[in-house]
Amino acid sequence: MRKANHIANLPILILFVLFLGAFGIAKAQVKFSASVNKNTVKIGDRFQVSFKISGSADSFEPPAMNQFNVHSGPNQSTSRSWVNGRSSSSLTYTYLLSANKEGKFVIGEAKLIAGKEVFTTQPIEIKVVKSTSQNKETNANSNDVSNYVFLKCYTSKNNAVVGEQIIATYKLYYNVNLSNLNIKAVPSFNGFWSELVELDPNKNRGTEVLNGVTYNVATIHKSVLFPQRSGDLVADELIIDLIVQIKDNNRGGSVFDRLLGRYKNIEHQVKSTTRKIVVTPLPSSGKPIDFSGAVGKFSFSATLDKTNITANEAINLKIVINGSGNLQLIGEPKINFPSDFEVYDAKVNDRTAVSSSGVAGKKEFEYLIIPRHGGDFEIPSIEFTYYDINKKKYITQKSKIFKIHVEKGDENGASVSQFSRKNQSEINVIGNDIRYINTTELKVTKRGNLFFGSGLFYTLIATSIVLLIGFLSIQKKLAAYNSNSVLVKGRKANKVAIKRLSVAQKHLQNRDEKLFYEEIFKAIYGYLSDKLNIDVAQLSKDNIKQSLLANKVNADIITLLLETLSSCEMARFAPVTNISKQEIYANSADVISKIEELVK
Amino acid sequence: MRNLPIILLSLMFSISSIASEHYSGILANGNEAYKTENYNDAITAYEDVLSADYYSAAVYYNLANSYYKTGQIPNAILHYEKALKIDPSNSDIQYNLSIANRQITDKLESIPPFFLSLWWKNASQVLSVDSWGWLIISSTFLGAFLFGFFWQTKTETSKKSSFYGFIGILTLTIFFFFAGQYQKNILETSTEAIVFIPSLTVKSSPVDNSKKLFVVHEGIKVKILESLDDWYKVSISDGNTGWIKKTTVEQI
Repeated sequence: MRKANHIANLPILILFVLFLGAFGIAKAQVKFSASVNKNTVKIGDRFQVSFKISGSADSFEPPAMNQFNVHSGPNQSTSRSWVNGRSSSSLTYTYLLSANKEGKFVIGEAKLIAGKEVFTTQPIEIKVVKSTSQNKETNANSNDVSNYVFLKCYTSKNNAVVGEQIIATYKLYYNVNLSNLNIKAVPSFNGFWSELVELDPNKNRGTEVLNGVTYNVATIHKSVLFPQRSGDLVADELIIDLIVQIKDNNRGGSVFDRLLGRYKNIEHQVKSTTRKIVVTPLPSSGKPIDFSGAVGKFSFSATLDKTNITANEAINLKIVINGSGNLQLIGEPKINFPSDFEVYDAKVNDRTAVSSSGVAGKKEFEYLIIPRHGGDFEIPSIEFTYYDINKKKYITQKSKIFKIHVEKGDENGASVSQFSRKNQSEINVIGNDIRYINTTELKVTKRGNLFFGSGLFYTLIATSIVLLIGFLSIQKKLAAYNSNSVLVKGRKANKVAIKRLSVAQKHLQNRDEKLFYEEIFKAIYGYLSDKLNIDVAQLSKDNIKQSLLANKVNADIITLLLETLSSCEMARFAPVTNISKQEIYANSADVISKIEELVK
Repeated sequence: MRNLPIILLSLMFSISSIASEHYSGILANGNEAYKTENYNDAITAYEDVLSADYYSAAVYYNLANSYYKTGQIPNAILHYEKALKIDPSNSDIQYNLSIANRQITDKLESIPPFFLSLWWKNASQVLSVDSWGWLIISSTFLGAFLFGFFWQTKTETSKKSSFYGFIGILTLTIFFFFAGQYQKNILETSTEAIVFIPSLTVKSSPVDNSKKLFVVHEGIKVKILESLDDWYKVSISDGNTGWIKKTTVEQI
């Protein structure tokens, strides 16, 4: 039901759409412009003013033209064209004018009313010059030529940062016949990296209105420029040699010439205008260390085809940088491959296209990696930094960290590989730098304060010699001292006696009388033998007495000594005593000490 | 009495250490600056120490490293050479000097010196002057001890061995002394210099407009053979000799 209904309404719908469409076209496409075929004219020369209306309009109101003579017009002409399935029509009002005064005149605004809107054209200035005499004709003609043919340089930007892409376009404007175009000098673009844009010969022609004059325009040269340094750079001259054909109507000639028009060929050189571009350096704030000069808008990706392999198998690492900007200048990103990997030079695939809108495309780096040993490895995150023109800041894109597991590879026969040394490799010296400073030694010495040869040095040597001499002289004295052995014996006698007496005392405490007396006896006898230098066997009471007397020992002491000796002798065999053991001990000690004092 | 030398020794050391403490601090500051890569600050600190007449192999070495890092290769070479004069056997200094020498323009094949003098030079450079000094002190003490032992001992074998020991030590001490003296001479007299002019023409005689013999470049080491007015007669390591202005070189 519903479907049928729609179908019934279809013709009305189509009409409505058509109406709307027409209205839309009228609304959108009203264009109103004024142009002249030349804006420098001689007095009396005729020139043409056209007002072109595209789209539908209600009323046209021409400007006042009373400074000029109107020879004809308004002449109407219409044209209709179909572009991309759309029709468009235009209406042109043409006036043929001439001036009779020298000076500058203005053709004022023309008005067009379309619906509720009012359109106006730009005023056009016409320069009227004196009609030149015939003999100056050639000169005037070549002057004129530069009004009819000229080259202009356009740049997409006049301010840029280093590396930012700029499009420079050179256009040839002409409204005379040209032939033999020959580009004599192409712009050198000093300070830029330039990429030539391939021009499509079918699309680079057209018409343009400049200062009210309609010109044929051909784009001669187009380049994408990347400033390489900061400062004032210039998009410089393009020079073209060409031949201009000018209608020669002043010279005489045959009737036919006058009727058909005679053309004169003038060789002419056209130099383009130049454009100054102010290039500012990239901001240094926030500039990452690894920034390599990429400017534009990019995306970055890194992919590894395998992460689990056995040794000696190849893996592919692919890095793709996509976007628009100075792609050609982007170098390989820095990748810290594990140093044990065999990495081949990157295969660089440049898929960039230079077009009127700049350089865009992608750049691929493909690395072939062969791990030679088993283990777990890691390729750290790969970074790509560029300066984003739109955001006006540096942007770093990072890949993920690649973890690679490498199984130990098969060797060709296990028994052979045990002895093969081919897996050994030299330690790779990666860099060369000086060694670090010495931070441990902080002691400084005063200049001239060498220890070698100093006073201290010689003093120490002298000290060693003095010590030696001292030691030698002490040794000498000691030897002399030791040489008299009798003296030594005598000196030692007292010590021995004291030792024996102390042993005797021990026996006394143990109540071992026999041993006590024996020890006392030995002590005295031994002492005297040493002291008087008489052998123990030859020692008798008589010679003791004599030699003691000879040594001027007191008679009392001798008597006491002899008494003690006799009591000891007696006590040894008959344990009857008239004197106590204590007394004997005291007496013997007393006697020895006294003799020691007297006999030296 | 026996402690006198030790007391004297420690006294002398303490006096010198008070004065040098300050400059050790400056040296440490320099090292800190080097660590943070402020090489110019480090250079200033090290030069301060040197201008106060205090020095050590480490000061020269660290200064040379700082010069190297700031790209002043002739200055770096000069100070490595100075450091090497104090501590001839230091492998770090030798290594860095060789690295720095790779940066200079001239590469000269050197004529090998007579093997005995080379041997002597190498032997004397095993230790620094003061190390030789201390070695001499310890060997004289050892010698004195051996002689004393020889004098005092009774048995024939020990007497014999101690005597030979003493004679051996005595010879060694004399050798040490000469080695030290040789080192000291090298240290206190400078017979070599480093060229500081990017490109220097060596002339045939000490006159400005004399014949040009050959051209050397900055960083090369020359040997000073003679001095006349403001000219040096120098020889380079390949044996060529000629005259250069004194201002063009810096003595090691």
